Parts: sequence; structure tokens; C-alpha cells
Amino acid sequence: MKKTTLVLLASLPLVAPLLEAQTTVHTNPVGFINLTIKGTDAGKGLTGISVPMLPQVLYSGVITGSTTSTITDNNATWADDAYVGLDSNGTPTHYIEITANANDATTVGSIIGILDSDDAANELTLNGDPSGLDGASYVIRESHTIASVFGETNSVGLESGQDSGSSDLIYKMTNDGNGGLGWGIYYYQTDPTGGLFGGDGWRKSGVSGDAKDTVILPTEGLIVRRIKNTDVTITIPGSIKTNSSRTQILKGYNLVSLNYPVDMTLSSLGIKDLLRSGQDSASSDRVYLINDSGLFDIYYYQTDPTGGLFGGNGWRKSGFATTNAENDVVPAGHSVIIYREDQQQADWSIDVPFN
Amino acid sequence: MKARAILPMFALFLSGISLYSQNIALGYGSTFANGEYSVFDDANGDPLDPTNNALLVAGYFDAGYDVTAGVSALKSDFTVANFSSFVSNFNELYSDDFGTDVGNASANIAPGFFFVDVSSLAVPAAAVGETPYIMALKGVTDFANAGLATEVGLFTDSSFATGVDPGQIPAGELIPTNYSLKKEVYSSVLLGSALEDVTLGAEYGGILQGQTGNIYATQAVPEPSTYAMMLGALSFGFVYYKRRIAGKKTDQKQEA
Repeated sequence: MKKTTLVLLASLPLVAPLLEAQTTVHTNPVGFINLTIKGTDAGKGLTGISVPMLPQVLYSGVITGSTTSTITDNNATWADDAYVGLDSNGTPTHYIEITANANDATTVGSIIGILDSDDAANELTLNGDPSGLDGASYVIRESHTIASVFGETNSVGLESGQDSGSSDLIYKMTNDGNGGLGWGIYYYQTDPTGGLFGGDGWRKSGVSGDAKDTVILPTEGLIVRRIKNTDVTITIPGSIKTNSSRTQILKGYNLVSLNYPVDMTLSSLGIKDLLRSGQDSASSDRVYLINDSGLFDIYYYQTDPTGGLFGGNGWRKSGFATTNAENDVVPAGHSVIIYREDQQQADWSIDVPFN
Repeated sequence: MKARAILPMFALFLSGISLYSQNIALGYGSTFANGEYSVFDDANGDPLDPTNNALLVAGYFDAGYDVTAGVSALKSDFTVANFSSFVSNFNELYSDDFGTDVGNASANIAPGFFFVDVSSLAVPAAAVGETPYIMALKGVTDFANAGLATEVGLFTDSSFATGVDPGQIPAGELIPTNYSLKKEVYSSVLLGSALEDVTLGAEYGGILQGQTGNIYATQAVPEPSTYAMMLGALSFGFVYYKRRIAGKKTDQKQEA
């Protein structure tokens, strides 16, 4: 059963000239996607979601200079301190994305957060290393937030209670880069006491204060745990990415989004070469996909050391060592968890899966 | 052909052991439900809060330890040494010092009203299937020093041992399973005392004042000085008794 619907409202020119010389604004195809959060009627109420619809482009240009922490755009017209902010987790609210780079195509899709902007120097300070990106085209967007996806006052209708134990939960994963796994748990609080719990609003479990502006990075997947038996549908408008995507995969667990609002397969994810492959799931890196029952289907790329005794080589679902799973579908709008053993960070790139 | 079938199954069995990180999302402490607030007090009736050096612990006893017998033995001979021995059987899942780090992992939003939420907690294998308890300690802010506490309360609920919501301590999953030990009423007070369905006074702050509450209080761990006084008194009494006996014997001798 297909749970996601994509509607393209319009297809506009990918690049439209602006008034400013050498400054362009990318206008991607726009539309919306419906994401279904599964209830507990037929499963455990877990749903992995991505937010593949992009917020609007706030600025676009070409990088004319770079250091290990800054880029310069000599034609920049931004105001001082524009596109600057941090959420309560310290994540920048705005980011640049490389949309084209004739010098190095492998950088296209790279996303780096913005820490500061300087109008006089035409410079952006970033929280990653952009050196060598001279000549690359980029766009600036503001990241989605808990509020922009689920509604500032929970307009999507997730179950809301006085605490995380009585509410639907939104899980954000953190990875310390050394395999350390952590979770941020968010919920919409309805204060039954008239103020003791801090009033109504989005909260992070264990942390006081409003969490509505918590950033959801474009590469970041989410998991929602629903405690009611009914489904909830979220409609997210936006534009569609028309360049390749790039996601950093760290050692350990990575909860990542799929950046395009179309169904993918394990094969078309293009991640095989980044993962350790062994004779079974325990000796391989793994891809976790939450199915309609709210349970994990665990995939790995099997390398059969016996020449066939273990079921041969290829994508396998754990428990089905002899069944080719390369065409198993990762539905549009779903997230996946990737477990990677290697300490070395890997860049996972997906080419645009449509024309 | 048999080997082809068995080997993948064996591989699956092996892989099933280590495919997940085991986590729970733990919550414990005060809550508001059914029109009642649960709060924690010390032995004097003062609410426990960031100002009075106390700790709220969620934990479990060693497997096989007879908690009822242990509590009974402790109560019958409540010494610091016996208390220290008693708490050595208790293992913390998590502890927090009544919100001195408010805004981080816990919330003390009114005096005595304190809860802890932990988003992701790895569950020790020894904890799985054990009955959880809430332990309030006064006089310490680190569970490593639990044996030095001046007051203790130990609470649990029948649902923690037998129920499914929340039930015994779960193994956890990759996506942390919600495990809330917050109760407006704890059905069992092993150490300390409970005062239920009372109107909360001004000491609980303007928000809780006048609300219906269930107060779970610690009890004093007798201090060594108290025992020294008691021992002193006993020694004095023993000497007095011996002298009286000796005196009586002397009198008896003289009478003889």
C-alpha cells in the first residue's frame, strides 16, 4: 500500500535570472507530499519520515573565494547577520547547499550550516569546511523546524499530553561521530494544570523551554511514535531537489532522510559501496527500515564466502539470506537508519532519481 | 541441502543478538493525574527541592535479593551500618539531585514536585525484568554516597512488578521505548511515609498550594551520634544495673 502522495503543482524553470548581475534564484518544481504517521491499530505505531520538500530559496549565488570556515560571494547582497541563528540544540537555522560545481561534481549536494554573515566582506562563516568550493553555485535556505513540519500548535493533530509518556513522540537521533548514539525526544505538551508544566507547546523531553524552532536538517530523518490507533496525515508543501543529494554517514547509527519525494529501492539508494559486507547481518553494516507494522526490516549487503551456501551475494533482508532484496521499496517520505562500523566518515550521494 | 537451510538460520540466530542498541526513555518522579499531584518531602515535612541536598533515584535491587525481608530486617535494627549494607543491594538506573540542573535533565517546577525525563538510557542486562523502585535520599547528591544519606524513602507500585504499563524494567530497543515510573500514587511505601489525598500547603509554592496531593516522605537514618548516645545510655544503665546487682549481693552478703 502506498502511503505517500506527491503532487507537483507546477514545474518552473530551474534557473531564472534575477535583477542582480550574476545572482540567480533557483526555482525548483513545487508541490506537496502527504506523510502518513501510522497508528497502533496494525502495529507498534512507529513511522520513519523524511521531509523531502524544500523550504524556499532565500538567496543564491556563486562562491568567489573560500577558506576552511568561510565563503565569499563578491556579488552578495545580503544584509549583515542575515540568515544567522541557532536553535536550542546549537544547530544553525540556515544553511548553504552546493547546487552545481563544474570543478568538483562530488561536492554537489553538500550542506553546511551558516554561523555568521558579513555584508561588508560579502562573507559567510560556516560550521563546516567549504575550502576549495570556489566557482560553485550555492543556495541559502532556512531549515525546516518542528513547527514548520508539525504545526506551531500541533495542527497536524499528534496526540498531546502533559509529558512525553502521554504524547506522541518525535525522535531525532544524535551521533557523536564515534558511534555514540543519543536521542532527542519531542512532543506537544498540553499542560493540564494551567501552567505548572510551563503551558502548552512543543517540548524536548527532559529540557525546559519551547522547542518549536528545533531545526530539522534536510539530511536528517525523523521517527514518530504514535500512541493512538488512528493514522495521522501530514501535508508538507515545498520545492523538490533537482540536484544530487549528499549525506554524511558517521560511525554507528545514522537516522537519515531520503531527499527526493519518490519511492526508492535498496539498490537505487546507491549506498552499497559505503557499507561493510559480510556473510550475514551481524558481520555487515545495515540499513534499517520501519515497515507498516512499526517494526524494523533490517537489510544488509551479503557477501557469501562459500560461493553460494549462504545464499549468494546481494541485498538481503535479515532472516531471508537467500532472497534477493535489491528491489525492496523504501517508500517516498520515509527515513532510514544506516549503521556503519567504519570510523571513517563517508559521503553518501544520491543522483536525482527522476528526469 | 540441509546445510544450506541450517546455516542461514544459524547466522540469523547469531545476528539477532547484536543488531540493536538497547535503550529506554525513562521518566520517574512526580506527576499530575486524576486531579492529584505527587510530591516528595523530607522527614520534617519540608518539600525536597534544589535547596536541601537530596537525590531521587530510579533503580532496582540485585536479582534474588529479598526486598521485603531486607526492609524488615533494616527496620528492626536501623543502624547506619545496616542501612549502608541495605543500599549496597540497590542499583541505580538513573539519579538526579532534585533539579539543581534545572533545564537539563530534570524539572523541579515547584517545591517537592520533581520529575526526571531521560531520553535515551542504556539498560544494563542485570536490570531487565527486575522490579523498579523510587528511592529518595537526603544528605547526598550522588548515589555513590547513598550509604551516607541521613534520610531515606523507598517507594514502588504494584504495577511496576506485575503490570504491563509500565511493568518490570524492559530491555529497551533501538528506538527508546517509553518507560514511565511517574505515579500520582505509589501503592507501596517500604521506607519513609505517605500522606495521601491531602490539601497541599504554602510550602509547596503558589502553584500547588491548595491542590490535592499525595506526599511521599523520607524517614531519618539514625545517626551514629544518636547511637553513641543510645549506647552511652545503655552503658550507663548497664553499669547502674551492675552496681545495683553488686550492691544487692553486698547487702545479701552483709545480711548473711
